[in-house]
Amino acid sequence: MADKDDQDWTETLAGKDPAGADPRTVKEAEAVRRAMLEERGRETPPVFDAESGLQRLLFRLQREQLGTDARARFRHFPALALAATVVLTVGLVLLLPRPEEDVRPVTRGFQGTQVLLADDPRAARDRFVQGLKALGIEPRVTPRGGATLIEAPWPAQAGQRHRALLDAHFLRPPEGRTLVVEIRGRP
Amino acid sequence: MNDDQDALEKIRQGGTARTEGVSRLYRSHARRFLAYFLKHRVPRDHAEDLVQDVFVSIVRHAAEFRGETRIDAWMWAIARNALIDHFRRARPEAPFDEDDLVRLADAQADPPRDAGGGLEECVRRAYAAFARSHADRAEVLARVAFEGWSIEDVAALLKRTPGATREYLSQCRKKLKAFLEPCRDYLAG
Repeated sequence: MADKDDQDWTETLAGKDPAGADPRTVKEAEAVRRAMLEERGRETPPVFDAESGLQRLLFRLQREQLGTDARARFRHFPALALAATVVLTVGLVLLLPRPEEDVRPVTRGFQGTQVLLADDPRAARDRFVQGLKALGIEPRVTPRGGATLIEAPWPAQAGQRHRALLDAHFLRPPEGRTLVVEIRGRP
Repeated sequence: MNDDQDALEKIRQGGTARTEGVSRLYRSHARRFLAYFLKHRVPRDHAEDLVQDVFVSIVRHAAEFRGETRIDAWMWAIARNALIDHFRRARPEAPFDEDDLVRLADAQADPPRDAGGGLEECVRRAYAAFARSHADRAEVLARVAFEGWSIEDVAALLKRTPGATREYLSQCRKKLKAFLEPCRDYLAG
């Protein structure tokens, strides 16, 4: 149960001087505060490309109709503004809202990796993995940059439920015994 | 009005002001959110996605912030929710809530046993081990220690009552005490 001594400890940790505090409590809290300061000084912030992340965020907000104007970032750079306008125009045409998630496949790769483009790749991944598990298939799920690679053993005699899962995700049956699907966000 | 409040106000306005507000908040806070998720052992690519999710939520809910707490407490509560949602998605078969975020760390904690180096070195080592094991608790203590967060601000972050928050901080101290055990003689002297 939190008591006055705990309160005094917390206040001392915050750099205050609580009246009537036990000297042992103050000594401990002050030592911890110094240790925390030292640790903060030693911490290495993660490598992080803020501008690239911000760019991605602004386009996502635009895509989700949350009302940013990505062009405004480039108001001092006319050539970039023009390029951004073209990208936005093309992007908005491609990304018009649909009543349902649209996952259309694109097939590529010599091993027949099928690519699903989704507005919400994480939700699409979760649904697809759940669908596989419901069929008793344990997929291997590997993050790959911003995408997810899913490899699932596929039965030679796939039944109606297997075909229904593939149909629901616009997929073809694999040519071999492994279904390989990459799910990524729509550009 | 501080910088963050001003940025949030711009977000509420929409349009080009929103872009400016989002940009300012992102440049100020995104790296810290990323570090927070990485400390909780979220894989890097997921952590970057979570950072994006946090800012999308900030924009979505900007109009709801009424100033009952400090604005950074509000934003950190959004980040914490994103982290909890991440763990929920990773374990769809089992429920996962606020308390599980704390229990996850508590179950893995392994206090050090080395007492050497004098008071400062002993306590530093102990705290570093505590922070690795209890990233969530260490984050809260840092807010209280260095950013002037009140009990009410922490309560908003944790979604607890002030009384339950005092109890949480008391538990933080108890957990830390286990790590400080090797330093007991230095602290008693």
